[in-house]
Amino acid sequence: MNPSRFICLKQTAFLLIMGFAWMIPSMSGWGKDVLIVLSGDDSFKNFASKLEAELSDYQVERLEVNTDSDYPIYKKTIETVKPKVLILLDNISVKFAQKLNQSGQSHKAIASMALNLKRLLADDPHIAGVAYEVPGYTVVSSFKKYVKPELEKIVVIYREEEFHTFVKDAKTQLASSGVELIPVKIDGFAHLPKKMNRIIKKHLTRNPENADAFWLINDNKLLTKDNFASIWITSARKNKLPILCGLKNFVNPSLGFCTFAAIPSEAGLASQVSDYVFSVIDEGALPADIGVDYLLETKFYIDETKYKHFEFSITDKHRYLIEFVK
Amino acid sequence: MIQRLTFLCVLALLVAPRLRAESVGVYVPFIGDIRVIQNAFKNDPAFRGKTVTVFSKFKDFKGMSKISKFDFAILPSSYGRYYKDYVAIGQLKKGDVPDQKYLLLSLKNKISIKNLAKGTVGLVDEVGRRKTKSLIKDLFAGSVFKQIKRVNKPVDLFPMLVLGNADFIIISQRNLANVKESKAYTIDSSEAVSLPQIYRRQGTKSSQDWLTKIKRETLMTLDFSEVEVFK
Repeated sequence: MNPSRFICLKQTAFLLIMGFAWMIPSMSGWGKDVLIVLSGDDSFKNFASKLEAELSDYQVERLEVNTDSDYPIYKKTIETVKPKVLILLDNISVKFAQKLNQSGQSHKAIASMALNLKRLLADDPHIAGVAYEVPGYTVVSSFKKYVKPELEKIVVIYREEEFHTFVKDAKTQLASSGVELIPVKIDGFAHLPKKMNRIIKKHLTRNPENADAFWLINDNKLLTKDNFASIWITSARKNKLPILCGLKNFVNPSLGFCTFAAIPSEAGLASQVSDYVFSVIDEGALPADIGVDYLLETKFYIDETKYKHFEFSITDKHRYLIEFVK
Repeated sequence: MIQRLTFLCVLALLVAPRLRAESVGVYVPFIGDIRVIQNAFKNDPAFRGKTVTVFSKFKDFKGMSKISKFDFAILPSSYGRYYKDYVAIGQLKKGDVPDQKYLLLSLKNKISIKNLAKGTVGLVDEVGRRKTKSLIKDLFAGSVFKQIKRVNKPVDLFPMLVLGNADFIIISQRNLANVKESKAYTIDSSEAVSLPQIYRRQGTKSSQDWLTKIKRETLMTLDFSEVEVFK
């Protein structure tokens, strides 16, 4: 063979091999630091973008999962990508991770934006997390600190089977701020709507505990499409006591429902989750050491009409912290 | 014609840096309305001709500084210990006091060193994630923690303790009064550490005459009252 032709072939082969080697990682995502597993909803996608910005020092890949039938894709992606840490958003990705861990392939993970993670991950050594529910301590103590300093007693209606730890923690934590939390259980009554509605109505309109406010837990068994307008809104509009909640949409003068809301700050949550990712990758922390934490950064909203009705007064020093909804 | 255009381009390149307003980046872990602080700096004649950007998070300052270095910066004194891109040229003071201690707090009273090693400590990310371990070691030599958790703002420190996210928090004396929500015990305190300082970008010789002209009201928005210029 002509020597110059042989050199030319060698160069071509080398370039092909290099090109192929370069393509393998980009095709398969091999060796990524972080895999974000999320469902396809826009709120998860927006949050994933915030996480990617926080984790710009790492190689991050996304995987969307939506139904149980996506589990094989999830499993295959984990095996291909081999991420150092998984970020699990939504309950379906937590479910997939627990299923794979139980099969013997455990992967370190941080979960968030899923319901009841404190309970779901209580005995899971492989998945740490940040609970998505705004803790009672945060919403109530912030309301006391910024809006109603004289608040001493607050009442909450809850389902023991689902929210036992959440309410128990809140009671202990609020005691340190000088607030007495009065829990009212409705177990059993959730299946008897009439009885449950009677309890809700009684506490919102007659205030038998003589509480200073009412803390509403986001629970779709408590707030149903059947009782939302007829019981909750009708009772709240009587303005017997301010209702504190964890949903921005409920603070709306035209609705007349919640007075004050604390909702998760997406930027703050992304920062909290990425700090734990950093701890695992760079500091060698184990998910079991991190545990499932409460979220820290929240945004506050207050209904301006109710603010005037209850004659609250927020000092200039704190006004920038709370958005007035007109 | 081409010669003239070339001359104008060269002239523009030479003059542009001189016409560019000097930039000042401010990051001090403090509780307050960032807009109030930003306005105070903007309206202070000492900062006339300078663009001032106030950051509420260290990582935002660092991110911006990576894109374009500030000519001057107001930063925690610990910054100079871990980074060499800015040089300290002035000391902020409150009254005559140029320093403060950092405190290690817990909700529990009786804590042994053994407990520290089992516990999680929370603190404000004021020098970047990767430098936090060194900062803790420098502040509390001998204290080893199992886990470190960082927050962006001092206001989130006390909730970390109450919510059980951390067993201990490290907080500066000046921030403690603003964030303390319930009874907590001081387990240890650091040596005195300088309060935040004013820095100049490394390798530049911009005038620093303006430091002595900063109004007291401007400094008060960050809870300081005076500037001492380094000789």
